[in-house]
Amino acid sequence: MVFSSLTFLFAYLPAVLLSYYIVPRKWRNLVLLLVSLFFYGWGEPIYVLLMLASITFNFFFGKAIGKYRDSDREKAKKYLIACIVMNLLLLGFFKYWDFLAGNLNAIGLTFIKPLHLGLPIGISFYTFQTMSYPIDLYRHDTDPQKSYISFGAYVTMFPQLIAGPIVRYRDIAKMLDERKENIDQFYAGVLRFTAGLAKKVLLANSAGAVWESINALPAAETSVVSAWIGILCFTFQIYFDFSGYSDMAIGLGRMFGFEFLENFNYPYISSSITEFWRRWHMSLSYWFRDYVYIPLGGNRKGLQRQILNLMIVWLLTGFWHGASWNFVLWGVFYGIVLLFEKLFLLKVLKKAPKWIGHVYTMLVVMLAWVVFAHTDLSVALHYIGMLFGGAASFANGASLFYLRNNLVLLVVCAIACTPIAQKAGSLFSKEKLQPFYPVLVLAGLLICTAFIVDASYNPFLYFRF
Amino acid sequence: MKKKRIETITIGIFLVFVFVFTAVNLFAEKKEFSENENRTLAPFPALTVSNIFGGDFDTQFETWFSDHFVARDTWIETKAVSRRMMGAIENNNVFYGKGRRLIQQFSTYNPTLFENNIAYIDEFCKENGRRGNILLIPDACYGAESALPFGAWNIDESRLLDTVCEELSDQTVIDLRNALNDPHYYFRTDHHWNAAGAYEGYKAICREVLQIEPYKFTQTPVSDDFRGTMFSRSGAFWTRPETLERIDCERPVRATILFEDGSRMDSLYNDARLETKDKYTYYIDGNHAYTEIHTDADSERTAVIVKDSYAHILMPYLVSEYRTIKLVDLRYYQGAVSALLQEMPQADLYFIYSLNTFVTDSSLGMLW
Repeated sequence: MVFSSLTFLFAYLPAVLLSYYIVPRKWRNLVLLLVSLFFYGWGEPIYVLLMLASITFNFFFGKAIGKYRDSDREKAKKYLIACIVMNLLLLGFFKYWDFLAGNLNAIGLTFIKPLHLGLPIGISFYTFQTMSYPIDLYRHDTDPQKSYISFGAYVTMFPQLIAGPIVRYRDIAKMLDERKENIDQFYAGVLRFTAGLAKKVLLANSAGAVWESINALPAAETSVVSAWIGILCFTFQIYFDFSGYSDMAIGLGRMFGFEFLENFNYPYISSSITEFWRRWHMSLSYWFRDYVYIPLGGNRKGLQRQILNLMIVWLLTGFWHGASWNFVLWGVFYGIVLLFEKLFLLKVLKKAPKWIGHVYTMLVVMLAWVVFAHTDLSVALHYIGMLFGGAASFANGASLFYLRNNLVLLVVCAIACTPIAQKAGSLFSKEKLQPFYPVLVLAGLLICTAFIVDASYNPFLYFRF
Repeated sequence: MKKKRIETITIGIFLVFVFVFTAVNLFAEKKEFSENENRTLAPFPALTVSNIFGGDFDTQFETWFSDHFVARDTWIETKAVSRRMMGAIENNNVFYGKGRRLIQQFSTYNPTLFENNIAYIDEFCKENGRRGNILLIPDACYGAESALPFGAWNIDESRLLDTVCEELSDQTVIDLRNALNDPHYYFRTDHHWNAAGAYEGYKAICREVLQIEPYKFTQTPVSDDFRGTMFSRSGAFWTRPETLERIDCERPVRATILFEDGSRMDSLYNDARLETKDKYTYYIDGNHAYTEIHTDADSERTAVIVKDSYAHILMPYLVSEYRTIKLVDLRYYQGAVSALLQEMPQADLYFIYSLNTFVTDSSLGMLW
């Protein structure tokens, strides 16, 4: 169940809000755990068992780590390693088994077979999230959670379960047991949720439809301009989809009294790739920094080691995004670009006019999205070829159509990628703007609902027997 | 103080919106059929263990939930309105044309399928020793091009028809590109050609296949409340409806129709269909796997027609020229077309499709 579905908005959410606020405060974590398990099991009920298993072993291993971390470091370390291995096995089995089998089979080794198991939703997010708990415990960055229910509520919490942000345990440990829901926070949650919904439904889905349509053009109808409009639309789609989802998660979290860390900070205004990755999917970058890069030695063991560490992190980042070679390539590509920036490019960019940095960043990002968007590498290369002249024409009727039909959408997307609107808003006093918020929320909900209903609208031209 | 009030109002709006629609949805009466979409709406998913644990219960539920969402058509119209306000010139691949005309966009097709379909027809005709008469009717995006909004774009149907003419040079390709060069040959709210357009098709058949003078016909409006497929698909429910016409020859013809299930009609028109949303089915009762028309035309000619629904509105004209016409819709027909041809050694063989159907329909392989 995604947040931008009618089932979520007009069945699940009201039921959850009602049951959450109707019970006394001390039961609210239990309610949160139960409704989150329901949310998780909605698509694939059997995987609820997987989730319960994950909660249980992390909870008890965490207890053990907490018990021995002062008295017997070695023992605590063994528990930590076992716990990490189990989490990684879980992720590895469900997400990467078929990829491994497929690749081995392709080179003639057929001793393992693809299993075609459905990927448990959010497994990439919640295994990473959960792993932060034993590691932070071991490092004394947090204390063991005493309640199984509170811990379960943390692991399954439905707002960020399926698409992040990846919330580290230590960041919400206090809130789990001591939060006090209040009107201010609920109000902020409503605003944030509605904004996220609009980003996902109005911007991401519309831009995505344009991208798909351009991607499906017959060879004779392609053009350089259309190809650029297409990848621009994908660039918008993936940002508004993902950041919209994070906004909805943060908003929902607030409705239940939680404050999650931000996940996006206008990544497309960056003037270098280094900056881009400080602004894009921040919770994942923090995770890799704190739990992989720094433990490997980071930049403290000489340049050679740093380069190696960087490449390991980016190989893993790519692989985390999907069990397919194009994601690996995508990650490694970013690793190399970041390496160049560290070695010399950043210094060059600093001296150059600012716009060069922006153009360079967006160019790299968009080319990388082409690779990200196509699991088939030869298709991606063909698309890149079209961007640089390998299309049927430079511009044609189709390019004019896509521009004309989506001009407003493209402009709105471009503005919404930047903090311009926020800056313009801050010219007025807060008191003057606030009266518009209720109206905006209502309008946003109405139009989003219209778009969601319309997506299921499926007229048949012909009667079906 | 004022801040608190605005916060409360905003939260109130959010909660009322979510809870009211939830409640209304829960208690609203459920419809079974969507006239606008011309389809049966999804039933509630089966509450069986195997469906919940092994199936796609979640998607079935979402489909059911949105199919029956309260005031569905109003939401869809709202979306169409917001698209227009955002400056879009189409919605769901339907252009908002000049004169409130709704024109289907033709933006993609499968080149392999197109080539295959041409080859199927050529092979079939040669195998059966008949010269095929091929009528691929350009769609409104070509014929009504002058009514398209600025910036509209469609795949060039003329280029596709060039390929057809070239590759089917052993058959008789009836080229309607010059004849159907005006919006008034097409419905304003539907994807089909209209009575005037079909008359152009009939004249071309008389000229190129039958080599006779065409009859004259009168068109009498029978409904002024026709809201066609493009009306439904565009979500532009504010578009005014249009008229549907009965077509009569100067020399009156009596016709009876037999369908695949043995039922019959003593007219080319089914008046009852005028009371439904899908009024185009007024002509020969819409899509049937097999339709057999017998007439008292002043001629011994017979015809076998492989077709899509574009052929339906052509029948009132063709019945003046043929004693028997057998129509086959390959999407549903189970028998072999060659068997029909063997029964009727003298029959003219036609393929009548809209170009859009022809390049997207994968059933031509079912000729055999």
